[in-house]
Amino acid sequence: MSTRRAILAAGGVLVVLLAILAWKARSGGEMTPTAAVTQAPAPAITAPAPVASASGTAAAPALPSAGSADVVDDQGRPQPVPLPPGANPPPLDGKHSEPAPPQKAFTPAEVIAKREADLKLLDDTKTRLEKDLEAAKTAHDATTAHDLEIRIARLTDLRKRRSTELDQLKGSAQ
Amino acid sequence: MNNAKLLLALAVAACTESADTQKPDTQTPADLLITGTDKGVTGSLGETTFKSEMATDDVLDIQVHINGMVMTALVNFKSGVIEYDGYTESTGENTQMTDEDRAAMVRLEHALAKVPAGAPFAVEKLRSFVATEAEHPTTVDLQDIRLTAENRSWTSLCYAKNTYYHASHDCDTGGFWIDATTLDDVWLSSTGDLGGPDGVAWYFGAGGTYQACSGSYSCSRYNVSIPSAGWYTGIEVDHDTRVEYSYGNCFGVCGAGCPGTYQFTVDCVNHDQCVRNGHITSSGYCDDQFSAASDDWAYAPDCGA
Repeated sequence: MSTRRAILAAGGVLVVLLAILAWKARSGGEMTPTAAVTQAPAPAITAPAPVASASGTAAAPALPSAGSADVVDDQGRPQPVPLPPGANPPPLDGKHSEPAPPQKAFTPAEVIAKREADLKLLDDTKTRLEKDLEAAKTAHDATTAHDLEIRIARLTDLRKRRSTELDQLKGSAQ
Repeated sequence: MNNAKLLLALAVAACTESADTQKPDTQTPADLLITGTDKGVTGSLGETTFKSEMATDDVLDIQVHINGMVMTALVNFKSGVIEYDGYTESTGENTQMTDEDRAAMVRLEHALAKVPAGAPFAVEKLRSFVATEAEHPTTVDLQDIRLTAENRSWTSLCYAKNTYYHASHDCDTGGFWIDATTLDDVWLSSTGDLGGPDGVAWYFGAGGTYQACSGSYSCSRYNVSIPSAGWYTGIEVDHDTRVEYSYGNCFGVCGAGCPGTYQFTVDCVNHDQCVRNGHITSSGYCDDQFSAASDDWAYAPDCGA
């Protein structure tokens, strides 16, 4: 009985941990704007601990660095580095271009016309790939044939879905 | 589009690491190989393979096999329709873009960026597509349709190159053009990576404490101290209303960083601003900026370096 209770307790703890993890995964630490800046005591720009690619914010590897040594604080957080004298930044009073006109949304009729063109694109592509598949089979190119079979199957499913979506668009446009 | 019959064999050094410094069992193929076909090009970079061909005079068909995944783009330039798809290579099942996939796309982007200017149309489009997909968020479906037209779905900013332009994002919650989500002065240029997490520099009008954020999983906010007014790099400014100036890492160019072509567009400068001003590349807060920019690579002109 006590063993079962222990297992239940452990399970409970696990559920709580998973819930916390899920919550953190959802909310992360990423903030929507609040811009609440307080003039807190300025933390010193700490030790220039050279860190290879201070991970920063990009999930993908950072693009090649221009060679400046990234600086992080004792918690591994990137710290500001003045641009070197030869960096030649743009002048603060440089020209400011006028905004481009707002993008104009497609009308329902334009959307339907493009959706019809899309169905033709999918049909033509499927026909073309089926010819390629025949050629691959004739050439006993199993890898290419496999790739084409998968792509044709997905195109076929997609064509059905796009057709349904177009019917719905036409229905709602009437 | 007149690249038929062009037989192109490019071997471009795609890796800066010398092969002789690597152990044989960890060595990866470093060369980008591009071969011309009747309708376009095929090629490879290590285990990644790709094909970019004009299926007809109006239709471009791109396929990239990367990291066990297939990504495709069908572009009809005449009707203004793009169909995207992405799926597991072995089974054809739906999949999502992961950090590893984005990293693999960035590697391919870097390799393609070294292809000299004046490459065939199919190569130019391939590298623009790869550069854009290198920023594809995990939470945006790989299968998608885009309806396109100039000044409707994409707007070129060639006229604004080497000037300041404003940029904004909405954190996926409808907050466009409020102070905290807007930079008034983004310098659109081909200036490359200036270091730091996003490769950009920021101008701070006075010394003091400012909001920054960092993290590979999400952009967690913290304060940084700026000793005096000036341009700084090394950090990602996080929605701080007192910072308006930024430049570097091809800010405003479609794709991750500097992909070798320079398509400055409204949607791409807004997406850059989202992922460089408070959100990570894969952030769900920038999903709509990514989707809005996801057709620009196919149509927008190259404004040149």
